[in-house]
This record gives sequence, C-alpha cells and structure tokens, in this order.
Amino acid sequence: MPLVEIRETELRLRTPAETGTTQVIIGSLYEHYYDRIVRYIFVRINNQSEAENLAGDVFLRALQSLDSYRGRIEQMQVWLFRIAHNLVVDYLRKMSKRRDISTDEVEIPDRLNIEDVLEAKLKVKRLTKALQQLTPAQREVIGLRFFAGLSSGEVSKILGKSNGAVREMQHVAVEALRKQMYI
Amino acid sequence: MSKDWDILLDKCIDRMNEGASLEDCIAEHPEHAEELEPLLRALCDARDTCSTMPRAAAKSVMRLRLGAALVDADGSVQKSHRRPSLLFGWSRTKAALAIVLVLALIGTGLFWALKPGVAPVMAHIKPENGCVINVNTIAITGQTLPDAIVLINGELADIDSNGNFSLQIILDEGFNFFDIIAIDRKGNEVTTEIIIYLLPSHSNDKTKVPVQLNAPLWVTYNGMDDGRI
Repeated sequence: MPLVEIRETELRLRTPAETGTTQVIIGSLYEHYYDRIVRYIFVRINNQSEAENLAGDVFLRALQSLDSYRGRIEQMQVWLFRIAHNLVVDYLRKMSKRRDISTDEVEIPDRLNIEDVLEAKLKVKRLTKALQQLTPAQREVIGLRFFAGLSSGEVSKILGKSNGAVREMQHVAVEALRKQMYI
Repeated sequence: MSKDWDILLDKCIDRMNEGASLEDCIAEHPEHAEELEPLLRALCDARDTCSTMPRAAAKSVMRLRLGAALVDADGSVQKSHRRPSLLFGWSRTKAALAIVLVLALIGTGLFWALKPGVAPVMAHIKPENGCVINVNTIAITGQTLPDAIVLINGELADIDSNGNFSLQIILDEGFNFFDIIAIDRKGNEVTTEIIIYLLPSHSNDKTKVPVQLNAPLWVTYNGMDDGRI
C-alpha cells in the first residue's frame, strides 16, 4: 500500500466551509495521517510507544490551532508535519536531559505469532540501530521524505532549506542508512 | 556528488511514495539499476520494518483522546435542553402575543410563575471525562444549582445546599459511560456525558495512573448522526 493515501483532491472536498465541522477536518486528518506521523516520529526518536503518544499530541495541537490556520487546505499535511517536527524537537530536548532512549522500548503488535514477533523485533532493532548511527538531520529527512511521504518541496518548507539542499541531504542520508542497515 | 543523481533518487522516492515498487523504479532507470537498487532496497526494508506501526490499540486510544478534545473544544458535552414552551402548539410569534395578552390581563405575578427558568449548569465534574483509573469504586462529583436534582445513569445523586452532588459508582473494567443530568424545579435540564476507563486488573500500566487521557471513543457532534471519528 502506498504511504501517500491522501492528497490534495481528497482534502479539498473537506474544507470547513463545505462540511461545517472541525470534527470532520480533524477526523479526516487523523485517519489519513496518524500512521505516517507515528512512523515519522519513530524514525526520529526510536521509541514506538512514545511515537504513538506524540503523534496523538500532534492532532491535539492541530485542533487547538485549527482556527488560526490560514494556509491552503492542501498544505495541511505540511502544517501537521511541522507540528510533529516541533514536538519531536521538544521531546528530544527533554529526553537529552533525562536519559538515553532504549531500543528495548520498541513494541511489536501481539497479533503475530512468536516467530513473527521475534523476527519483527530483530528487524526493528536493526533499523533502530542503523537510525541511531545517522545524524539528526539525516533521520529528519528520511523520516519526512520516506516515512511521512512528503515531497522534497514540502520537506524543504518544513526544514527551511532549498529543494536542492533537501535532495542532497536525502541522498547522503539514504547512503548512510544503507551502510548501517547491512553491516 | 552530482545533482543529477540527487534528482534521480528524489524521483524514485516520489514514485515509491506513490506506490511504485522497487522493481518498477529500477525498470524505469535501467542504466542506474546497479547504484539505485541497494539504496531503494534499504528504504523499502526500513519501511517494511515500520509497517506494523502504529499498533491498533494505540490508534484507538489516540482516537479516544482526540474525540474528547473535540468535545471539549466544541463545548458540546454540555448540551443544554430547555423544555419547549409552546402554547397549544402555536408558533413562537403567536405564543408570544398570547403571553403578552395574558400579562396585560393578570399581571406580572403570574408572568413570573409561568416564565421558563434558566437551564441549570454543571461544573467541576470529577473524575474528568476520559480519565483512566485503577480503582473500581469512585465517587462522581460536581456542582450544579442547589435546587436541582442530579441523575447519574438514572440514579439519584446526593446533593447539598450548595449544589454539590456526588454518587458512589462501581466501575466495570474497560470503558464506563455516564450520563449526568441535572434538572431544576422548573423542569429545565442539562446533560453531561463522561467516559471513564478502568484499567483491567492485569494491566501493567498501574504506575502511570491516574492519567488524564482526555478521551471518549466517539462523540455525537453538532447533531450529526454518526460522530464517530
């Protein structure tokens, strides 16, 4: 299944004027973006439970700010991921003062059988270890570009960099990820 | 590092984000297959690893939190119902004219007797909507008008002269739904709904409670038939 499940056309049908409810907007955003935001945050912080919680906070923050949102409806995903980015920055700042993040905190859904669970855990550990070797900027760009499914133009808006700079960062980041994943 | 190569990789990632497979991307750029394949494979493996995220339970809990936040934001938890004051089924205009006539005839004393009261309000309700609790017996408390009666899921709550009400409740494990209705002596009423989650006895989360989840599973919102989000 493609990571990008919703784009501008779908969201355009759900403007506040057309639906009249905040709930529909936030509910639509939640249903379409929650998973991607969790994965993006996981790539940044390496902790699944915290990623799931923080992703929820993204929508609560979005709800608080929805009235003041002045962008176009199709740019809402950039807005959401900017909120996610800011929450991650705050989280990492807090955590840096407290403790290192343990890879043991990775949780796997219990619907899998024991072999699948072990294999999934190993995979997640390997990915976590690989991600830990990347710089924060590399993790950011991989998270936004591939796990969040944003375009490089959208990533450039969030990071405040040019498209060319984002593409270059992305290339370096993917090379680094490849090296770390298959050591 | 060439800009062309950056652009090529960027295009491939766009294609994969749109649902193209690794093989599709390689096939579209056969001249770069050797360099592209390991990079794209690393991304695919990373994405596959994260495909189990988020867990369904976590998604449900977050949906719950968001639902509660929507209720709070909209203020629709407190739904104030004023009893209809139609006179013999007349329109509001007719009824208003009739009331004016009655007033002129029988004076202001009767006016005050007939005038509908202001709907009561409820405040300071504890536990808060959406909270998670690890004890099965709690008191639902709050404050309303001193002359009101309060029903919690149909049970009459104790109320003191200041309007403070309370009722002991035994919770079931999991979600517990409560309708709290305050009715004043003129029949005006206000309803608040709260949801409390009692952690299962085997839960490992006890160290974290009580936690404010802010959270009903779904909400009826602005009169929509199905407010589920």
